[in-house]
Amino acid sequence: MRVAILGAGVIGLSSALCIHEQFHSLVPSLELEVYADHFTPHTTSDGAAGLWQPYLSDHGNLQETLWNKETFDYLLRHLHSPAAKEMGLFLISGYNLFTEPVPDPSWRNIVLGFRNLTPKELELFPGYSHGWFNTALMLEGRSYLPWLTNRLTQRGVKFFHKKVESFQEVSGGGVDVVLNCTGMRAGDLQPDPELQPGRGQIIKVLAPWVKHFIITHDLKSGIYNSPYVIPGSEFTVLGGIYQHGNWSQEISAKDHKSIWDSCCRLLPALQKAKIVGEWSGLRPARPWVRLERESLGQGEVPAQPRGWVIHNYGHGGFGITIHWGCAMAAARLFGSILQEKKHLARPLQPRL
Amino acid sequence: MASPKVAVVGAGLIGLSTALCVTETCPSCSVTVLSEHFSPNTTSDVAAGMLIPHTYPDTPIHTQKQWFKETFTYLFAISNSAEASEAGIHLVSGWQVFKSTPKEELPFWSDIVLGFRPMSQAELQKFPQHRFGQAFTTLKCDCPPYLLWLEKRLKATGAQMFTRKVSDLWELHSEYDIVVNCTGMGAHQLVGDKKLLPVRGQVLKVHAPWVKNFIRDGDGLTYIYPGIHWVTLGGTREKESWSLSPDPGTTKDIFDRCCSLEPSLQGAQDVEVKVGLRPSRQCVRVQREVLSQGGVKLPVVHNYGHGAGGFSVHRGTAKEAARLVEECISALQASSLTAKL
Repeated sequence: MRVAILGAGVIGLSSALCIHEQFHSLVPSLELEVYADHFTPHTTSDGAAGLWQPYLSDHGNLQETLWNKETFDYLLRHLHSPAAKEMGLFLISGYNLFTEPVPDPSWRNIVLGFRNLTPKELELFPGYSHGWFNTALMLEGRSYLPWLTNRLTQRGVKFFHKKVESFQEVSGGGVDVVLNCTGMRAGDLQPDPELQPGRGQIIKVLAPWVKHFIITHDLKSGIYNSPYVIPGSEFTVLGGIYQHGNWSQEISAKDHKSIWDSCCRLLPALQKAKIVGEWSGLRPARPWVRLERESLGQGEVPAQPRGWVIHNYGHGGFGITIHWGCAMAAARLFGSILQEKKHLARPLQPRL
Repeated sequence: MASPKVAVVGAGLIGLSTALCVTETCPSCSVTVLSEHFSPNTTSDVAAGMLIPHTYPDTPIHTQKQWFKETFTYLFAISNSAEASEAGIHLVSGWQVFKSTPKEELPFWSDIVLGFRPMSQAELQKFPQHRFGQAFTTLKCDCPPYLLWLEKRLKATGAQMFTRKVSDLWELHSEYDIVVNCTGMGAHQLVGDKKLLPVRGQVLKVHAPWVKNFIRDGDGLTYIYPGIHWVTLGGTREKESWSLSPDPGTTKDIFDRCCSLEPSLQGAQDVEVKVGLRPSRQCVRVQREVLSQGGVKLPVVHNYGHGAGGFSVHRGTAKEAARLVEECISALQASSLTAKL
């Protein structure tokens, strides 16, 4: 049984790993192939700082909150494993800042030690009157994607550097299931007006004295349009740009100045930080994540489709935050397809 | 006395910060720092520089709290300014964990550090051998940067610094009006203080930039303190041990203890081993004295014996020592008036 995964960002690679882990012993003929036009370090996931943190509000989308929690708990379990450093996984504490009171987020009980900021802490951030402190996780794409790639390679998964132009292109060649993890480019394979770019830009600096993440919020401008500082293991990311509908991946001088000025106002010591890089990327934004299966038209046998697509895209600015929950959900969808195809000797145990 | 000449002996954290305070309280003073060692070769350079107070048995708690508060406030302002990275001052959050619940759940400094609270059960899961913990945010002074920054501030005031081993305070009486003794462990010899004893500490400085939080065992023996460029792993508290040579068995023991608190340290690189002798005393000696020899008087202000808690109280004791220097100046001026009458 051949499965093609389209996309080699965090969603594609983790979905592939999750499916292989769960089904390779149950389906002896299982063969996984990853197709992508960009691999690490050139994917959107590589540009992200890697901080686990969902948006402020889940808009009642409990499913996504559950996937976020599954991801956090999964990563937390790996924190003490020998693989953690190679995965780019570590604990980090920090601040979320507001100019007005806000309700607690959906993730307050998922992260560690969530609390409101004390008045003395707020003195550090003039102009902000409210805030949160908590301990969360960093999962750096630059390390995590190569780690996932190694795990997959060890399992015999094959990689192809190819921009796939249609589902039929792969399904026609004998592939039974296609995993559509193409992020921002999903619209090229199947039009989706709900999927829009949320353009971001960041500056990478050397500021090793910064040990906390600091995310400011301007409720009027919307998520990520207010300065943020996220210290990684090798450099610190300065950001604060979210432009809905902007497809440009060019570095904008105006955005650079806006990020630099606002971050230096937030943390005056950053003025002395050395700039070591810049990047611009497109968050694959959607009102909610598209995670569902779709048949690929009629096959030769009546009532059995030629093939299936499992869509897993539209994770906006929280792909790393939600990735494992989505990978598990994609694996469940895969399991349901297997059950229908009666590929298994015995029925699957139902998964909660 | 137009321009009192003040000699500060010792150029570790206490010497430099005291000298700086003297220039602040007495701008007309001419201040000279004399020391056998300067950064990076002082005891202060070995320390991690964490602002977590040590309790001195014989110093009143309200005094220790005052010193800590003054120090924390002073450094907090620097950490929030454009100079933070040059001065090596930065905020760091983390946990102090205990294998058994401590007698004192709220230390005297809990309302001075930021966000102090007990750890949640979920947080304690990271430390299976520990049953109780405290989470808070405090400051760290990285050395050499902080000492070099103090030296730079001093030079800007016109103060001078010389490498010189002072074997006897009386060497200085002809050149200086007042001597400030900030010699740390050196005071054992220099002023014959037998109540001052070394508590040997060995530490490892490693490259592990993914470690962003501090972890400290409440017993004070095992700790992980992330600094700007390296993480300090500790440690030992060996009473009355004078050896400055690193011990390989101790190195392995420290590394193992720290890895059990933070397993990812197994991947740490570039291990450097350092040893310092904490200049330990039942109480910090911040005191005025007038030495007398053959009719000649030499005013001395002592500021030493900070043991394991130098960074936490340095600014507070420096300010108190500077006040004592002012008292010495007033006394000298009064006696020179008397002499004229």
